[in-house]
Amino acid sequence: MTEVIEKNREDEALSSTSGYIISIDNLNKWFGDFHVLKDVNLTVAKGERIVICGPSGSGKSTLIRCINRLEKHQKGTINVMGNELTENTKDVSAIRQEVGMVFQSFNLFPHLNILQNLTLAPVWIRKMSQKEAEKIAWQYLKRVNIAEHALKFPSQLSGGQQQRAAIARSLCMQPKIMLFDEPTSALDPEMVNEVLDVMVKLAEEGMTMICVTHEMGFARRVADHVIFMDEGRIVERQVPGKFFSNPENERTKEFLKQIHAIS
Amino acid sequence: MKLNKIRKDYFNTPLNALMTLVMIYLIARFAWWFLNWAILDAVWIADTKDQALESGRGGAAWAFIINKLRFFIFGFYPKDEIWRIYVTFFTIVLSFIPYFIKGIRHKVIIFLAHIIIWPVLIFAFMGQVSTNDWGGLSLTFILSLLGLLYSFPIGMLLALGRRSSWPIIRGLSVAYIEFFRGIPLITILFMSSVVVPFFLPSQVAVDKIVRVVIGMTFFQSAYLAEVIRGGLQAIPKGQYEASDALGFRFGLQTYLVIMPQVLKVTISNIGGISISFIKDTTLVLIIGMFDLLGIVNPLASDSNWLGMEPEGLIFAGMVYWIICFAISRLTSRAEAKMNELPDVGVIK
Ligand SMILES: Nc1ncnc2c1ncn2[C@@H]1O[C@H](COP(=O)(O)OP(=O)(O)OP(=O)(O)O)[C@@H](O)[C@H]1O
Ligand SMILES: [Mg+2]
Repeated sequence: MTEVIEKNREDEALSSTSGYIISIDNLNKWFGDFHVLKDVNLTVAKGERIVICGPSGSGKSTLIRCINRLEKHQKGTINVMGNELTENTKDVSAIRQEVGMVFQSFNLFPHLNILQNLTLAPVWIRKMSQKEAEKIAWQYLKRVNIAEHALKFPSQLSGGQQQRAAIARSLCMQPKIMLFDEPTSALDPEMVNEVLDVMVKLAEEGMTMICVTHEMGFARRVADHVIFMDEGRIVERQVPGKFFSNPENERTKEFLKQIHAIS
Repeated sequence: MKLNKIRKDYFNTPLNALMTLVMIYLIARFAWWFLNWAILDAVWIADTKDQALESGRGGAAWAFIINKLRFFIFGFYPKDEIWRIYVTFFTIVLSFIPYFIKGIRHKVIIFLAHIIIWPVLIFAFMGQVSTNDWGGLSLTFILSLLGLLYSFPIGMLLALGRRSSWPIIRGLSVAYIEFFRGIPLITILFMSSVVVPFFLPSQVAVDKIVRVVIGMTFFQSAYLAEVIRGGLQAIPKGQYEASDALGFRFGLQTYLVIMPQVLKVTISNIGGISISFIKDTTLVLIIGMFDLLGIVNPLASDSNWLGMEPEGLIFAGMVYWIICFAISRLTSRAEAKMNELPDVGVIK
C-alpha cells in the first residue's frame, strides 16, 4: 500500500507540468481513405474518470487505442504523462507499462493459468522476483474476488471471472491510467455487475480511467465527465447529471433515447 | 451389433461376399507364407550364407543381421573406438534432462547450449574417427538430430520474418522459403556434396557430413517455417494487443506469449514433418554415405553374405518404422498433455 502512495506522489509531479495526465490535441486519424477520428480534443486530469459512449463505428475504440498507441495517428498530438506519442517515440512500451487496457474479449493468455497471467508482465518487464510478483498478484486477485480460481486456466472460467482476471492482470503492472474498451459487452447479463463492481471500486480508489461503455448506470455513478462521440468527432462533453437530463446536442438526445428504449 | 455391421458392410451382395472371401483367403495365404519365412523357417545363427542355407528351410537368414549388427548400428566405425559413440549419445540424451526440471525459466538458453554442445561433441569427439567411417543407425540419428536442431530456430525466424512489417526482411524470408521448398532435397544434397566443394578453395575442406547437415537444414527450415507460420496465423489478434498493452516488446512477446501457443497448435504437424525429415535422411545414400539404409548394400556384398539385401532392407525398414512410430506416439502424447487442463477446484 505504501508503494501505491509513493507512486501517486510521482504522478503528481509528472502531471503537474501540463496539469493533465493525458492531453489530446486536434487528433486526426485515417484508415486508408476513411477519416475515422476528426479533430479530437480531449484532456484528462489525474484521477479523472471519463466515460465515452456513442453509436457503433463512431471511433470510440480507435480513440482509446491511440492513447496507448495500439493505433497510430496521422495528425495532431497525443501526450501521455508528459510523453508525446509520435513516430519517433523511442519506447512506446515504457508508456504502455503505465497504461493498463482491458478489452471486450478479455484476451487472457490461454496457455497460462490465472496466477501466471498476472505475474508474467511484472516478472519479465518490471523485473520483479517471482515471489514478489505473486504477492502482488494475490492482492489483486482478492480485490477482484477470484483468488479461489487462481490456479485455473482462462478457459475454465466464466466470462465475468475472465474479465475480472484481465482487470487484475492490468493492475498488477500498477498502471497510472486504465483504459476500458466495452469491458462488459461480451458478457452475459448476469455477469455484467460483478465486473462493474470491480470498476466502481477502482474508480473510488482514485484511478484515472477512460471507459468506453454503454452501461449508463455506471456512467452516472462514477464518471466525472461523459463524452459522446459520433462519426469520429467528440460531439459533447458533460458532467453526468447534465448529460443524462439535459444534453445539448441533438444526436446525443437521439442516442440516449435509443439506449433507454433498449434498457 | 458388431456381427450385423460386418454382415452389412462385407456380405451385403453375393459379389461382395465372394470378394470378401477371396481377399481373406489371399491375405491369409500371404500372412502364413510370411510367418513361415520370417519366423518359423528363419535361421538365426550362422556364420555365412551357405551355413544358413544348409541349416534352414528356405526362411529368412536373420543370422546376417545378427552377425552384422555392429555395422548396422555403428557403420564402419572402428570397433575399439565405438565407446566414443556411446559417450556422445549418452551425453545427448542426458542433455534433455534440464527441459524437464520445473524451476528452470530460461528453456531457450538450454536450447542455445544444445546448438553449440551437440556439434562440438559430435564432430570433435566422435570425429576423432574420420567421418568416412561413420554409418548405420548412428549416422541416421546424427543427421536427424542435427538437422532438426538447426532447422527449428531458423524455421521460427523465417516464419516471423515472413510476417515482418519490414519489407526487406519479409522479402528475404519469402525468397528463402519459396526457393528451398521449390527444389527437391536430393538436388540440395548433390549441390552441397559436389558443387559447394568445387567452389571452395582447396585449403578449405568442409566435412561431408557438415555439408549435408547444412543442406538439410536449408530444406527443412523452409518447411518448418511454413508450419510455424500456419500456427502464427492461428493466434488471435487479441493476444498481440493484450501483450502489447502490458508493455511487452517483440522479443519477449514472441517468446512468452506467442510461440508457446504456436507450438501447442502445431505440435502434431511438427511431429509429422519431423518424421518425414528422418525418413528423408535416407537420401544421403545417393551421395555415398552409408546410413542405416545405405549400409545394406555394402554389407550384402560381403562374399560370405552375398544377396542378403531382402533381410537387410526389411530390417532397416522395421527400424525406421519403430523410430517413426515412437515419434508419432510421443507427439500425440505431448499434444494431449499440453491440452490437458488441471483439475483444480476452488482453493482455500
Ligand atoms: N484496422 C482498421 N482498418 C480499417 N478500418 C477500421 C479499422 N478499425 C476500425 N475501423 C473502422 O473505423 C471505424 C471506427 O471503428 P471503432 O472500432 O473505433 O468504432 P467504435 O466506436 O469502437 O464502434 P463499436 O461500438 O462497434 O465498437 C469503423 O467504421 C470501423 O469499421
Ligand atoms: Mg469499439
